[in-house]
Amino acid sequence: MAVNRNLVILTIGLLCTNAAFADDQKAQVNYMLHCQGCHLPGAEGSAGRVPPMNDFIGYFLHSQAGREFLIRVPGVAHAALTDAEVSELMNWLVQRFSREQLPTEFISFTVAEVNELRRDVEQSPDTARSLILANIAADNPALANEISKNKN
Amino acid sequence: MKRLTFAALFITTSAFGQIQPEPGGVIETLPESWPAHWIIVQDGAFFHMNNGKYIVVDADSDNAAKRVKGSFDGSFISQFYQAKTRPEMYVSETFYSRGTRGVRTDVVTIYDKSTLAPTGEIVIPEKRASQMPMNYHIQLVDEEKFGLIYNFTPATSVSVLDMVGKAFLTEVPTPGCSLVYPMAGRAFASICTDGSMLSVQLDEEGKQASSARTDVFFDANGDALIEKAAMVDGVAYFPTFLGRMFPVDLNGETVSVGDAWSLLGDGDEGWRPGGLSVTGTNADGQIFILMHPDGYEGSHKDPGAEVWIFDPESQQRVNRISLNLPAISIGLTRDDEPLMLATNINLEVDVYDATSGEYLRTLSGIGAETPFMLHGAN
Repeated sequence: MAVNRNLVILTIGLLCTNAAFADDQKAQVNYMLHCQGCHLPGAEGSAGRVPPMNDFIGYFLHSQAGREFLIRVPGVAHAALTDAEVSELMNWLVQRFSREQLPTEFISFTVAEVNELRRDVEQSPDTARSLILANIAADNPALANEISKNKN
Repeated sequence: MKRLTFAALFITTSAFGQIQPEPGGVIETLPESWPAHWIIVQDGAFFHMNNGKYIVVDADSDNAAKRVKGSFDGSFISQFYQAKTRPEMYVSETFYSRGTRGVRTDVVTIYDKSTLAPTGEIVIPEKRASQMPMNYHIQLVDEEKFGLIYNFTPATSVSVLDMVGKAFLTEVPTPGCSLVYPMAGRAFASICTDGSMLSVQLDEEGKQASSARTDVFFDANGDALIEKAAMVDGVAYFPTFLGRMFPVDLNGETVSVGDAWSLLGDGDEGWRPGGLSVTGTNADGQIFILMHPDGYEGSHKDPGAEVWIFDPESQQRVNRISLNLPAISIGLTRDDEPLMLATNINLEVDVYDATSGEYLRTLSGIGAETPFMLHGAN
């Protein structure tokens, strides 16, 4: 009986891993199809045109406005993806490219949250981005230096 | 001796009589107003994009040596606009300080219609969209006082220019929305990725005074709009991938979207609009559309075997032209006996009678390698 129970647990564990792996792979494929054309495979972007997300995007999650911005920005809000696909993609993206910068209490994007936020597309992305980063830097002096390096 | 002298004199006289010395260095000019069947062939130079050109051709002429009237340049997939209120043409283009690399400069170059010489330029932010040519990258509004350039970095915006003072004024962000469709007055519309349209009213300095969004009216995944709209009396007619037509009225303060109608009748199943420059209009306001049979997911850039002609009022097809060779782009002349121009799959320019559909000639040997767009002269 004990052996059987362990087997059951092991099987469930494997299934979970596979499911998570499949989600990650789907998120990565969606990143490749919908984001990487401009943001590039390593999310490094291009100076002055496409802001870098690698080692940076996690800072946005230090404020509610920053969290919302990541979904309201036109490229995400208007992406040809379902709400579930967007939440899956964004949760994968911030952890894949910017785990170090995430707040310790990072909470995953939910489908309902994405559904609501993407309806309200940000109309001044450049201005909003600068303002949000300035506020995060002001509220988190320890991050200010790193944030100011990549303001653009 | 005498005979020899006579012979020599004869030869001299005869040579003098036969070869008329031509004065060199003469530069001809063209009339300010061009004959209706002159066309501008926009060669994007797809395989060496830094030196595209515009070739002015008399499409009535069967004389290959004489039908080319002149040419002017367009650097790195330029975009083109012919002014209606002054004898000027505008080319938005890109230069790099070392030819193919180095510091980027974007400009709108102003060309004079009679000399085909650049008479000025407006330096614009170096972010104009580097995309295949189409009509809605550069537009003029407010009786051609304001110029609008579509930018894509990929953040989208519109550069606003003073076309009288020849100066850059300001940049208007159009987040998630692309291209510039001219609206009545001092305004433009853009098409948005969520399936809506944005309209922007400008103030006297070209800054955004107000903006509005329509409801979502098309499904970019299910049945996308072809952005190459046909413009008739301020209404932009957008075909869709699957063969519907959306009339979008740009005459008001904001965009007004009408009900879609179908391009397909009984027995037309499988036909779809497609190509590079898909639509054209004649002076009567009829709409010409490149169509291909047996359409499939992804066939929206396929060459068209036929051109279908619609009356947008009755929403009925009034004619169909079977092409000599399938075509990727069409264009029309402005007059009452218009020519239809078609870039065929061998990248030659075919000329048809736009009314009867009769094939007239092929304008080979005009020096165009990749004639992406064909413009009837204004």
